[in-house]
Formats: sequence, C-alpha cells, structure tokens
Amino acid sequence: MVKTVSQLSSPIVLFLAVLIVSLSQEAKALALRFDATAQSFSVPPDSPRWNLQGQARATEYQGRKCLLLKNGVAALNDFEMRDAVIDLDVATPANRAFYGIEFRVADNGANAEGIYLRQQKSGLPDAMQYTPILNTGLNWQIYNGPGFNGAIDIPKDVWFHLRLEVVGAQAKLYVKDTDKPALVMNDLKSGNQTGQVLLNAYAGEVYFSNFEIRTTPDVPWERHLPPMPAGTITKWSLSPSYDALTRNLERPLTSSESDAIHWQDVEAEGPGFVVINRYRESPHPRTLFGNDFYLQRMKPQTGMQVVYAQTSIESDRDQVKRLNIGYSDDVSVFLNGKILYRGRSAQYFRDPEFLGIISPENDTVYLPLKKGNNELMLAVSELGGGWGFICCLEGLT
Amino acid sequence: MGKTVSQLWLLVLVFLAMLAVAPSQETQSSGPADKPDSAPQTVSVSPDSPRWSLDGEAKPAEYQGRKCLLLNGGAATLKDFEMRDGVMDVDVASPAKRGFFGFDFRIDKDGLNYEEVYLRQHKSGLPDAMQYTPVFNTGRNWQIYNGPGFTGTVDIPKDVWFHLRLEVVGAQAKLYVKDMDKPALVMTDLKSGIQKGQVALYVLAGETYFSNFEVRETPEAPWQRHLPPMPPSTLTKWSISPSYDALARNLERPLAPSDSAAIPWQNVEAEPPGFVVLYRYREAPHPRVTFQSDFSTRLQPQPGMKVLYARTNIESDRDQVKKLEIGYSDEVSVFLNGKILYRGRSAQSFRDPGFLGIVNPENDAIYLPLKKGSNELMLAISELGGGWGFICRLEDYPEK
Repeated sequence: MVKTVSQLSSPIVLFLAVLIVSLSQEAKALALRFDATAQSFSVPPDSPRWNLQGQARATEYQGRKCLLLKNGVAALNDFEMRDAVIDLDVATPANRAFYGIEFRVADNGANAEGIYLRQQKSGLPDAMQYTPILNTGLNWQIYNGPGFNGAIDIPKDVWFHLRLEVVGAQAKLYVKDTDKPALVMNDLKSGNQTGQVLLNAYAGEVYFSNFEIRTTPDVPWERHLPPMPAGTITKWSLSPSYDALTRNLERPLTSSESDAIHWQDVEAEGPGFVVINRYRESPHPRTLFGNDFYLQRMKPQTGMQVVYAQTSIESDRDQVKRLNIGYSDDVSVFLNGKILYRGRSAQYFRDPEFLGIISPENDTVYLPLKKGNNELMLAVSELGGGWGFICCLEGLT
Repeated sequence: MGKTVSQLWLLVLVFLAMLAVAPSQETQSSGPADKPDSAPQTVSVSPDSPRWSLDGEAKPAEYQGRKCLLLNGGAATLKDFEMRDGVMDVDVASPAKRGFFGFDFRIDKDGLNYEEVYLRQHKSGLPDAMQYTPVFNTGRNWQIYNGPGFTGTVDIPKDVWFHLRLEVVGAQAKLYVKDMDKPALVMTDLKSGIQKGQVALYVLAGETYFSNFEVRETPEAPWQRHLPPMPPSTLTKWSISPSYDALARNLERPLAPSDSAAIPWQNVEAEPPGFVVLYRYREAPHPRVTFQSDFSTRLQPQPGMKVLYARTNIESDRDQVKKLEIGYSDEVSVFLNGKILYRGRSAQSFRDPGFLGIVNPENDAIYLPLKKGSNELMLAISELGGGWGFICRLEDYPEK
C-alpha cells in the first residue's frame, strides 16, 4: 500500500540499461543539434521520439491524446538541453503517485536533475520536491526546505499545467499558475550543464499531454551555494562502500583495515553536507518497514550499504566539544577508536511516516578530545533517499 | 396496531424523561457492582438533554437532517453517571479535513485523569488513524503508547454519518468503527488504572457531529492487566526531580551537587516494557508550539517547555563500556558521572513537519564509559506535549 520514494529506483535502473544503447546511437545527432539556435517543438504522445520504459504507452484520457506512465518513463530521443522551458499538462486519478520531469539527464541516466510532485502530499510542505539524482540515487533527505520542496494543492483527476524553466544553475517550477513559480530552485546541485529530458511516474497512473519544449539562450553559470557555518567539518576521507550486513557497525575499522583502504578525500559542500551519493553508487534495496513498521523495522535490511568517513580534529588541550551531527540513514560515531553514539534515522524508521531529513540540530554528541590529533570516524549506512552527513564542531561555554 | 405502537413509544418517552430527571438515584446508588444480576440497562441521551454537561464549543445542532451534538474543541460529559464496564454507541459525522474526535471514559473525580480513544480524521487509512491513550494530569501520552493495542489503521468516512462503539470490559476495551462485527482497535491493557468514572464525547479540533448516543452498563469483568514483558536489561529504578521551566536552565549542564542535594527526589519505577511515564507524576505542560504550524521556527525557544531530571545508579564490577539504548520525549540530555555525553531533540514536528516523536529505545544508543563501582546516570528530559517520558536499557558491549 505505502510505496516509498526509494522504490523509484528499480524503474530508473531498468531505464538506464536501455538508455545506454540509445545514447550511444544518438551521440552524433545530439552534438549537431546542440549548437543550433533556440528551437521550439512539441512532441505528440505517439511520437517515435519518445523512448518508453516500464508501463508507458500512448492512450486517451478525459478526451485527450496523452502518454500514460505508471512505474514508467518516457525519455525524449535525439535531444539534449542546457537552458529551456518545458510545458506540459498532467492529470492523475491516483491517490498516491510521484511524477515529474528529469532534466539534464547525463551519464546514461545516473546523474540528473529531477522535480516531482507527491500526489498524496497535496497541501503539505513536501508536495513538490526538487532533488539532484546522483549515481542513480535521489537525495531528498539531504536537499530539503526552501529551494528544494514546497507546499501546493495538487489537483486530482483534472488536467493541469506544469512549466519548468531551466536557466543556468537555477530553475523554476510552475504548477497550474504560470505567472508565479510554485518552486524556485536557486541552486541546481548535480553540476550537469546539459542532458536529456524525460517524464516519469511512479506508484500511480499519471497522464501527460501537450508536451512542448523550447530551448533558450545560455545564461552565465552561477551557483548559489549556501554559506558554510563556522565550525563545519569540511575535510573528510571516504572508504569504499560495503555491504552493511557483513560488518559490525558498533566497531570502528581496525588500523590494519584502515591502512589497507584506498581513502578518497572529499570536501563538504555548503552548508556542510557530505553527499556520499556523489562518490558512491546509490543502493536501491526494498525496505521492508516501508510497508510494515511494527513488525519489520528491526529486521536486517538486505542491500544496505555502509561507508566509513574519517577526519582529524586538532585540539590545543584536553577538552569536550560539541559535535552537532545530521546523518542519513544510520550512523555510528567513533572518536579515537571508541564508539560514542549510534543513531538510526532511515525513512519510516522512527515512525511510519518518518522522513529522515538530515539536519545538524537533532543530535549532539559531546566529544572528549585529547590534546593533539584526534581521529573522528563515522560509519554511515544507507537504504535510500539520500546518503550523507553533516558535522559541526562547537566549543562548550 | 398503529395505535399500540405509538402508545408504547409514549411509554418509552415518559420513561426516558424520568431517567433524565432522576439519573443520579438511578445510577449512583445502585451500580452494577451492587446488582450484578440486574438486567443491563440502555440509556440513550438526546442531544438537547440536560444530562450533557457541555464545555468549550459544544451545542445541540442539526446536521444532515439529524438532531445531534456539535463539538469543535469541546466536550459533552454525561452528568450523574459513572461507569466501570459498559458499551457506548454513537453515530458521528465530520465535514472537517482535520479533526480529532472520540470518547473519554473512566474520567476521575477531578477530571485530570482518564482513558481516551479517538480518531484522527486527517490520518484516515494511515497507521495512526485511531489512537488509544491514557490521559494523566491533563496530558495525552500517544508518543509513549503507540503501536498494537494503541494505534491502528481505519478508513474514516468524511461528511457521512457512521457508527462508533466502545466496549469497556475490565482493563480491556474494544473500539468498533462502522463494522460492529469486528473491532477496529483492541486495547489489551488500559493504562490509567482508573476502574470507574464518567464518560464524555470529546473533540480536540474539527467540527464534528454526534447523534444517537447510547450507553449500557455491563456486568463487571475480572480486572486483569496485560502488561507487556520487561526486558531484563531495562533500567527500572529512577528518582525524579520536580519540574522546572526549561528555558530558565542550561540543559547541557548536569545538576550541581548542591542543587541535587536540595531536591526532594521522588522514587519511581518504570512500567513494562520499561517506560517512565512522567505525566503520572508531574503536571503536563500545554504550550503553543510554534514549529507545529511553521517548521522554519523549530529552533526558536518554546516558552512553556518543562524539564525534569531523572537519575539512577549503575553498579559496575570493573571499568567497562556499556550500551545505553534510550528512547525519550521530547528532548534529552544524558549525563554520566556529571559529564554530558549526548543531547537529542525529538519533539513532535521537530525532525520533519510530520514527525511524531514516538518514544522507542531502538533509535539512539549511547556508549557509557562506566567506572568500577557506582556510576550516576542522569537525564534531563524536557517536554512540550504528547507524552513525557523515557525508556532506558543497558546492554553489554563486549570488549573484543
């Protein structure tokens, strides 16, 4: 009954496989078209330009010719965009559905920008969502709040209009009202500057009609990253990704294990997130407790992955400092080889509707630092929705 | 024939009128406890009956052609009537998108403690569409009492009359919603401990209409509690401080020894499966929490938040690390031997706009560096609403 956003994954993977083939064939044509000046065109539902995956077909709904997607994807062949305006009408009779537009889809679909509506969240703060797709993973547990999601009343069983304006590293989503944007994305996170366009729908049947796209002249590329608060721990090294069920997550890496690892240096992005999906393939297990909170949530979840992240903290004396930590989905915190804390915040884990948004204000671990160099190590595991953490170190007054 | 029937109705009406005039003699002097063999009596109470004591927004009304009681942030309490075991029947209809409505029962003399079962209109079809909770010192405890026996899924009709039945039998109760053959929520262990009290219809919020109210007392069943098991690792013996204004205190600091020595600590014991339910001992705060309607204000201080300290001793035969599994509501600071180790914040709506803040020992674990001998574990537990309490289990963390 209750479908999770993370279940978007399997259709995405399916779609990727086919996209690999089509992309290689179209590469030449794409390169040619890309230099062309602004163009505007519409694509009818039965056009061979649509590459359909999953449950996806041309049909008729409420008197209109349209595309039906249900756990399906319709990707536009032979077309790449940087800046553009996408217009379409949508309608769904579903109580529960996730549907929207992916744009600047690159790397055979592994990396993209995505906006979607959550039909069942109509009127709630997360009715609309923007998230980058990184190594096949959605990141809504990390990218949340202004610029990423917002409240809107989503019509049911009625055609309504969506417009997406993509301009450099910014974008605007219009829902119903094309005068005032419903969601302003002031910093697109994937870094992709060009890529394909696709429509998608999961968990419920959704109809799309009157699809039009108009490319617009490139504007300067200006990122608007939020500031990095003082105290943010920005320099980290990441281990490879492991099957979490094969590891004792209450134990730190032994020094011999640690020595044998190829650690990858990464840097937190403003306001301090280390977004692990940027560096590691996103897992897509089927989470049991999404459907049965009380009986399933304590069971091992096959397919969960874990990465270790380490950093050094220099201290001029023995002292206690406050580590404000946000994480997704589970974390173990080790200081100088000793475990201090373990927290679990996967989607649905803390209550049946729990989101598991990463925020450094929820949990604080007090670190007994010794004078000199201290090693802080996290074991961060992931089921879905965004893999990462944020750490901020503050003195105690 | 027709005449006979109408005469019968007249008799019934006269009887009901008599009941309405003289209810106290009827029910208080000779309850079923005194007359276990007496035939069960069904009492129906019309919406405009003087037997209803109305509080808040509560008045007789008409809705969809029925005479009924309208409640919206109000209660209708049945006067002159106390019930141990019984069956309550009522039809209910609500046009509200968002609403909380249901029954209060076994309301104690001062009205501060009782049992409550209610529907959440806006959670129709979700696991918390129905809720049973005891109310202690004016506070609901749904963040503590959650899951089977407390919450359940049901489709709640909107804008349509449907039937509710509550069967109260000893320390158990069953709620029927629409379908009178199969209970929608089985309450296997009523938590208040109150064995007898008044009954009421109650609406926290959302316009809701009630009609065809009936109550029938039933013979007393044996009083059998069905407490869940207490895991052996549970920390059960605690002492709690008085309740303080949380904003007046530095919650990262433990109590100074002099403060601690001056406090009249109250010894309490956890109830299975290990909860220390603080509303049992302290008045529930009822502040208006700004971030419940505006998530962006969640880091602002919330005037009215209360805090109390809870402490226990942990004996250790050697220096060792043990794992403290802790569930808490709403916020906690964990101190071991006077040093802070962890602080967590889990008020309703704090972690995300729809976050519930259910108390559960599997979410967070703190690894305690115990020294040989006696160790003092102290918690500062603060509360905004929904259930004030904690659960602690101390598990081995084998040194490998």
